[in-house]
Amino acid sequence: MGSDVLFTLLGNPHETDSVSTALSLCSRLLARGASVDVWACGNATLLTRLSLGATKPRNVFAGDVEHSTSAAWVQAALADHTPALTWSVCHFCSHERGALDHVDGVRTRPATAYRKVVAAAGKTITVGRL
Amino acid sequence: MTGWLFLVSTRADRCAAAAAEPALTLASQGHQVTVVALDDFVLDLRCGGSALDARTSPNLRVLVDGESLGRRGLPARPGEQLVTRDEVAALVMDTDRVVWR
Repeated sequence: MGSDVLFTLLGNPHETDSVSTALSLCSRLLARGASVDVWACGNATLLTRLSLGATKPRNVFAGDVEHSTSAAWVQAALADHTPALTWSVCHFCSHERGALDHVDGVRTRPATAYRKVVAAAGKTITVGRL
Repeated sequence: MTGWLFLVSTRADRCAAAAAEPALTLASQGHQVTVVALDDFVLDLRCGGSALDARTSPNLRVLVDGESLGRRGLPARPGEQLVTRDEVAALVMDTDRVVWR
């Protein structure tokens, strides 16, 4: 059974605001009862690395504020919304970048599985470029 | 005719202009097209750098993400149709085809 919406995250996730906006849309879609799959390719596979930890480096201009890392955000979202939310990373892209350690709930899948995920999804939204 | 939703996030000096042209073409062919300006593309609309700024079509609707404006400290302009992220999510669910650029 596929998802209502598949987000495919490509390229460099910190180059623009696109990924954070896409994830914001994911949250809104989940809140509306939709099911969402996320497939990360390229450097987007680095978003869920365990080594990112729970919080970003402290902002010296706002020292008392902590911001979650993308990995912590994804882990919390998966904990809250499984099975409505799934997060998959491309095996080849992930291994090519040495990103072997992902947070709980993230599935590492062969690139060939992407075809099945797309075919099963109601809509596919591709964010970014490789 | 099919409904299309273009979520345009990138500035025109990258690929947003390329996203605008298919939107205009589809609208001119009778498709119902909605373009939502997100992120840095809201700056593009302000600077007149987008083809969407100059041309209109009865089948084309251009909406502006209020959160993207707010994060950039920009007020809404008269006549601008603002949408919330919740409304954008509803559009994603309700539209046949969704394109992100």
